[in-house]
Amino acid sequence: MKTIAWIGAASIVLGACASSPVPADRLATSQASIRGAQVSGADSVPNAALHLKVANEQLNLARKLITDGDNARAEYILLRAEADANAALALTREAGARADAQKTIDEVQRLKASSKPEGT
Amino acid sequence: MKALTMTAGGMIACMLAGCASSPPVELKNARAAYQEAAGSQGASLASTSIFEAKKSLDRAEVAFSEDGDAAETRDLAYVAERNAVIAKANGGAALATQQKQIALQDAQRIKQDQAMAMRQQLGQTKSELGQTKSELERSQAQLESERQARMEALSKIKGLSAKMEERGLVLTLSGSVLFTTGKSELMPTARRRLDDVIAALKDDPRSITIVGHTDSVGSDEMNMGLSQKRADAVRTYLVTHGLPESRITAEGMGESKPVADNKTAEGRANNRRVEIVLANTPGGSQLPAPGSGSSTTPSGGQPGGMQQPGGMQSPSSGNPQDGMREQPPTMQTRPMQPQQKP
Repeated sequence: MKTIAWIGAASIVLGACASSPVPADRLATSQASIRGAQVSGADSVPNAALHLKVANEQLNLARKLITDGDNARAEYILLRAEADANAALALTREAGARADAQKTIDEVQRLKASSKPEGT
Repeated sequence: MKALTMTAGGMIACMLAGCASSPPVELKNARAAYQEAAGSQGASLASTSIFEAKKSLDRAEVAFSEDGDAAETRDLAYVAERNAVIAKANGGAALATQQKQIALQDAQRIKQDQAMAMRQQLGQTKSELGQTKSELERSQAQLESERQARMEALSKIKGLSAKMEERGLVLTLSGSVLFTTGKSELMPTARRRLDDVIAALKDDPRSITIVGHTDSVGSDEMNMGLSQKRADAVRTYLVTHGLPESRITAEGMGESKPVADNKTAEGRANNRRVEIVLANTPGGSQLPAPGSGSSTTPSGGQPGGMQQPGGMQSPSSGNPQDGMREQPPTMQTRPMQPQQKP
C-alpha cells in the first residue's frame, strides 16, 4: 500500500515534468549570452573564464535534460548557464575597464614625473 | 491506508520544515555575494545592477520560504549569487571608468601647467634676448662712438691721410714728414705726429701693420731695405710709447707698390710714404704682399738708400720741385750703407 502511494506521487511529478514545453527561448538566450561573453574575451580573464566554462557545462547539461524530456529542469539549468555567461561578460568588462584606467593613470604618473624639475 | 497517507504527509512536512530552518548553500552564497556587492566601492555607481541583484535574491528568499530547499530554490539562489557578482563587477567597471576620467582630467591639467610653464620660459627667454640685444646695441654704439672719436683724432693729425681699404683703415704718412732723405731715423716732427697717432690708437683693439714704401729711384734691393728699416723705426717708436708689441708688425715694400707715377717729382714724393694699416677686425692681421718682407721686430742697422724730403701733408701734396729721389745704392746686399745723393 505504501509503495503504491509513493509510485503514484512520483508519477504525478514526472508527468508534470514531461508536460513542460522545450525551453527554446531560454536555450537561445543562454547560447547568445555565452557567445557574447566569448566575443568579449572572457577566455583571457581568469575568473570570467571560469564562469564561462561553467556556463558551457550547464548548457550541455540542459541539452541533455531536454533530450531526456526533462524540460522543466532544463529551463532552470539554462537560467544558471545564462547567469554564469552574464557574470563572465561583466567580469571581462570590469577587467578591461580597470586595465584601461590603470594605463591612463600610469601615463599621468609619467607625465607628472616628466613635469617635475630635475633633482627634485 | 489512512495511516500511510498521514505518515507520508508527516514526512514531507518534516522535510519542508528541515529545509526552511536550514537554507541551501546556494542561498547562503547569494546572501554573502549580495552583501559584498552592496558594500563594494563601486556600488553607488551601479545602483541599477545592485537593485537587480537584490530582486533576484528576494525571489530566491521567497522560493526558500515557500518551497524550502527545493531545486528551484537552489537555482534561483544560484542565479541571485551570479547577479550579485555581476552587480559588483559593474560597480568595479564604473569605478574604473570614473578613475580614468579623473586621470584624464589630471593629465589635461598637467599639460596645461606644462604649456603655461613653457610660455613663461619663452617669455623669460625673449626678455633676456631683448636685454642682450639692447646691451649689444649699446656696445655697438659705444664702439662706433669710439671709432668715430679715433677717426676724428686721426683726421686732426697733420701730414696724415686716412682711407678705408679692403685690407683695413690705412693711415698714410708722407716719408718726408717722418724721415730725412735716405735715413731711417725719425725726425722730431715725426715723433710728435706719431704721438698723436699713438694717442688715437691706444685703446683700439685692432692689429697694426706698418708698411714702408719708396719711390723707384735706386735699386730694388736698396729701396726694400730702406722701406723695411723705416717701417721698423715707426714700429719701434709706437711700441716704446705704449702700443702693444704683439699687435704691431712692420714690413718694407720698397718701390713695389707705387701710388703715383715715378716719372714726376710729385709722383715720387707721393710714393715715398709709411702706411699704418689697422686690420678690419680686432686682433686681425694683414697679409703681407708676396715677396715683401715683414717683421714684428725692428731690423735696426743702418739706413738704406737716400731719400729726399717730400710733401708734408699727404702723399698727394708732395712738392715735385723738392727733388726727392731714392738714389741707386752703392751696395747690392743688405744691410746697406746709405748713400746720399749729393
